[in-house]
Amino acid sequence: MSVKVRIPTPLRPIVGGDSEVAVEGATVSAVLDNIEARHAGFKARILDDQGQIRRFVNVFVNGEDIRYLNGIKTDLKDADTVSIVPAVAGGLERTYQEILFSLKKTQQEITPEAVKKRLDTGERTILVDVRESDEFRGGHLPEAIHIPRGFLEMRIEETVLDHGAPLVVYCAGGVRSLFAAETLTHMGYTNVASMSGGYGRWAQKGFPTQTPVVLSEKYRRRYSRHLSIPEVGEAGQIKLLKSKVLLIGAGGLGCPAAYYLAAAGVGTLGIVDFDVVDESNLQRQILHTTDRVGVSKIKSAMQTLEKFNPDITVIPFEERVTSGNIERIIKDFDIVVDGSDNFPTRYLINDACVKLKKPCVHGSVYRFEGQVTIFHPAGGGPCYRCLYKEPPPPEMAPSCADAGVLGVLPGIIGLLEAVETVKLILGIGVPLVGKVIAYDALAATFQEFRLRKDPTCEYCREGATFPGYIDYEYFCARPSAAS
Amino acid sequence: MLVLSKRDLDIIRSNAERAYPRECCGLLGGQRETGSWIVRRVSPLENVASPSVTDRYVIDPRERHGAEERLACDGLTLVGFYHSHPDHEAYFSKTDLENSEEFQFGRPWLPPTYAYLVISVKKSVANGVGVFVIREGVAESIDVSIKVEEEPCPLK
Repeated sequence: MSVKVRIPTPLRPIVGGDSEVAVEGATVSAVLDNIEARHAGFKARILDDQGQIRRFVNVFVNGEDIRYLNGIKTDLKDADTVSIVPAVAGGLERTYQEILFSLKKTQQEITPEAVKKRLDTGERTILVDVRESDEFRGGHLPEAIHIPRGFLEMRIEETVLDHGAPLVVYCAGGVRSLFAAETLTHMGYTNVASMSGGYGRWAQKGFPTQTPVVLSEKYRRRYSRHLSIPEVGEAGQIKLLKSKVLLIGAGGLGCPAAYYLAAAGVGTLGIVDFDVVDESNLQRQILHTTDRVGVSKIKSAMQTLEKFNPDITVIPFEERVTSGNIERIIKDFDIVVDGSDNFPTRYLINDACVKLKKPCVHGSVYRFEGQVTIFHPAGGGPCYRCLYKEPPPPEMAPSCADAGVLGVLPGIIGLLEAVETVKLILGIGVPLVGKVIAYDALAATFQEFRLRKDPTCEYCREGATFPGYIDYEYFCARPSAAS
Repeated sequence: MLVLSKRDLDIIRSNAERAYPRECCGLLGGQRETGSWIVRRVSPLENVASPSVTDRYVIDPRERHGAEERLACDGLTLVGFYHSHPDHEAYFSKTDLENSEEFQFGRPWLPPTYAYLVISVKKSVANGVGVFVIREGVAESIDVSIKVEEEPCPLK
């Protein structure tokens, strides 16, 4: 069969000057081959090295683009018309100087003096430093948010939600910030100014700067996934590394919590436990190993954690907590994670935490169910006693040893405790204060309950003087008044 | 040399001014004579580059195909293209060169086929005009002759 092929003007010399040639061929590909056979060098102008139609070339069969038919394998009928139509495009490219000149006309600029005045007078201003990380580490404007220009589009909306917020963008010399300001304007931010002269002029004027504490390269690698999260970042990782968390119990809850807190880079972990590893612990207590049965839990936990993350410090307290030692143990820690398995210890921990104003991240497990909350009266929440004025009678409160527990469950609850601990350290999100999350593994549900602060609570009510420690064993062993 | 009537130049000028601050674009139809590109008809086409872009033009190949067929029906041939440079001079940019047909068809270089007319628009007023051909992969400026006396053209 014979088809007509319309030849683009530039290629006509190759086919002898004709605007149209008649060729045999059952497909576009065959037609191109047949033209090539007669006019060498034609096909290479249309197809690339892989035999595909070159990107700027369009081929139409009776006006239909063969991209939407069967490509170069498109079948042809007798008397079809194949048109080869190159794409036409172009445009000016602006030089750097031209772009800069036009940005200077369109973007608002602000002098370092005017920025200083806005900061001094307390006028709302969000400073955005768009320099690279190594420049930022050398010093920055007070309270500046650091988003390198390359990440600006990706991160700004996570950090600055209000598109009308007064933003001042700066870089080292005032050029990159102009480009960044243009980007922000395109993104819909309506109040954006670029600081002329940048950090260089700011520092030269002797205006106040801050130098961030910086992580070493080794830490930057290890915690890189934290550094990429805007809510954590370098500042957050430094907070984690400087934080001190005390875990009471290296058991079902303490093991997973300690493991992940160590992984997260919580710099100092205190662990209180006086037990030895028992074979029955290994079903859930993942810091310990089979060959350490009979070894003290503290030693076993330290061994695992120090091997896992040698950068952190583990402080062992191989003792039972009592009213006599608890204040000494918890006083230097920022947060207490309660992984204890009995009521006397829970009340003791609560009372000490209330007295020393430490947030207490609390977890408990029973067979298939677990609960987590944070007791933090100093942070506006209730304490353990607001929830349970009195312990349940002993027969109603079986221990894991008696009742049993699904081995995975303390993993979940311990890790929820770890998450809440990390959030408290970073000061992000909504802490689990004043509410409890209850997990039911069999039903596969998480339920949330509000916990109210008891305004009459002897321990944590407003203006309460600490009533003192009590005999917790006796308190918990006696039959409940309610029963 | 590009030969263009004043009337056709005015069509290009008003197209460029209306499109400002975007680029305009279109085809130049006419006849080729040795060393000359004689324009008989100007066909403005839509710039299908993203509307947010002011420094690019793209002609829809289908539109171009149709316009070229109409030229052929009237016994004319495609002799070139035009586009505008808002707030810039009428130079032939690197982008213009690299997107031109002769350049894209690659080596061995094809002889200059089309005349590329670039019109500068400053603050929405059409300014200078430059015309270029592509020889050996390089843009080369050619002269323009504007015929003020409109030539009788029965096809218009």
